[in-house]
Amino acid sequence: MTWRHKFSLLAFLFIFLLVISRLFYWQVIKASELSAIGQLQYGTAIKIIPKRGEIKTSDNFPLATNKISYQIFANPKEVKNKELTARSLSSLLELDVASVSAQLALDKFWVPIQSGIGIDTKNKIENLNLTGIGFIEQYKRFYPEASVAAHLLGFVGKDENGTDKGYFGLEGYYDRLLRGEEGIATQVKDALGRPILAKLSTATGGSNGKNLILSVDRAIQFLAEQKLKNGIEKYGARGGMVGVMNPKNGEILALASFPTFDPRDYASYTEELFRNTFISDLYEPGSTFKPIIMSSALDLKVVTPETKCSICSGPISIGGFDIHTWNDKYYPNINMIETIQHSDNTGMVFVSQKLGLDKTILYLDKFGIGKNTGIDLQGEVSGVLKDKERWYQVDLATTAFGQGISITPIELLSAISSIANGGIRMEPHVVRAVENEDGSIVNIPPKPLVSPIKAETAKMMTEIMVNAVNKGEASWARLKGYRIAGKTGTASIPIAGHYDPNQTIASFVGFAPAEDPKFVMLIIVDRPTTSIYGAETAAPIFFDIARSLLTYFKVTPGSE
Amino acid sequence: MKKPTFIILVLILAVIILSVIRTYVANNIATSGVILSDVEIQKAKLETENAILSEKLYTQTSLSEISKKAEKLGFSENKKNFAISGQRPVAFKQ
Repeated sequence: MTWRHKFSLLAFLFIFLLVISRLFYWQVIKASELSAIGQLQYGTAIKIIPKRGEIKTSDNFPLATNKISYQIFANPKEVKNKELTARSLSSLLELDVASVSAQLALDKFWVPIQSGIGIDTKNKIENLNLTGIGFIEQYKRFYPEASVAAHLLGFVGKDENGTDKGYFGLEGYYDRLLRGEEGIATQVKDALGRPILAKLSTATGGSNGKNLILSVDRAIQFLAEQKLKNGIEKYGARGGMVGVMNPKNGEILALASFPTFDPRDYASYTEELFRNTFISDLYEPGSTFKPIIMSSALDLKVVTPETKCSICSGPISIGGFDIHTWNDKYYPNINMIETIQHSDNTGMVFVSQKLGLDKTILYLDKFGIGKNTGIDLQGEVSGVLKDKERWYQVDLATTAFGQGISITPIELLSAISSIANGGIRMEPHVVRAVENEDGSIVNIPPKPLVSPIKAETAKMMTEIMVNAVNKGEASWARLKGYRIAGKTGTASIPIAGHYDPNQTIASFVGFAPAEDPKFVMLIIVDRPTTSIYGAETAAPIFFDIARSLLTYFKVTPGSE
Repeated sequence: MKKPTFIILVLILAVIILSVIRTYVANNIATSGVILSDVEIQKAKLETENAILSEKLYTQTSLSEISKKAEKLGFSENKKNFAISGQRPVAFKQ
């Protein structure tokens, strides 16, 4: 081989090496970058943000839906007159001129100016024909009924990645169902950026959020909130709660707490207000708890409605504590019907002694006391029933009239609903059905939990509660012509080891019509100032709402 | 062996016809991207309009709004319920 041949061979080898190394650089090192540039020329990959599911009341009206809003952005490199643009935008968007100018001064292709602007503002900005300004359509949570059912709904905020996330209530509990899944679509375009017909955009994955259809009745929710709010103002209370449930299937018809918040503007409220106190706060139920203990004793037949109390002629001393009646009036030989009618604490101590600790704990457990009810809302808590060994004699006595035991309002509502429902306790739930994107509906069936008492006991207890409404302390407020079963409650508030003598939690629980209940309702008034008694505060609110509900359910007054 | 002339001819003809059709169709739809683009813009516009109208409808038909308007018009809550019981028979059957 001559030197010429050798030189040619080496030269070719060198050229090939150069070509191979260049190909390696393009195809291996720069492969992903070039592929991305190529894809940009070929088409556009678009992230499809799913539309969040709606939350609808039983009449299919959305309590939470989505409305169109816009994010305004700028390409500072394209903005011609930055000073004029900043001034125009700041006046329409109510922003500082300095902050808009600072964004426009950045050396970037895309800077956000503001999110969540309405269509009117968008149109006004568009009419200014500003260069380098654009809009991105986005959805914003919209609440047509404003702050109605705020605690039931919760709100939609942002997670750590800046994406929408539901917090509290239904938005929190059903967040995964409501939010849907993100998808990616590719739109293939020609050289001028127009979509090519033969290459339609293809979406991969992704689906919109599912809609929730609630058992909540919009009319009941609205009027219960209005009347509770009026009641709180009238009785100078710090707050209040209302819960209305269908005892036959556990469907929640209305649920509200005050003070409340506006989910549209959740950021301007303190976190404390987001908690749904009806399911998240423990309180001592007071006399509204008496029907639970009394029906347990009746169910076990340790007492009958006619059983006379042999220890009710005066205060009872137990474990160094004197137990009085609420008004220090005593009725010797009072029977069980009158014990509930007069809300007699000594009569209930008598019942608790007949029932005994083991059976009390057993029945409290069957009534769901000390356990979560299973309601489909985020944030439910429950008190804890003490172990048998930690119960003192006085605990058994005070539990009989609802002191020294802490429960949530939903626990009480659920327990009383089992008396209204012939002894069967249903799981309370707010969502009746889930609506898929294609319009198909998946119903959530009612769930019976347990039968704490027999049907005949429930009937007996109902009659005792009807008598309490007709002849008890709240009889002045009752609705004539209707048979309503109910019980007042005035619970002292434990503060630093003793009970506050001036402040109470006033409440009333009941159901109507007694023979075929359409609803069971619990009203709680927190620290009323005009009167500390449930019979003078919570009871009138209860009957005010009940009158509207009975009309709404087309229940006509009959002979009592 | 006899050559399958007829089959070959048919296949060639089919290839030619299909090629012509393909060219014709491709040529016809090549500019339809503009129409598709217009349709998509129109669809997006209608969807936006629909969403805005739904928002207005929900606001106008909300109970909060209706109760405010009712109050303005002078409606007030009925505090008294009454029911008309069934007519009593003229004579009871003994």
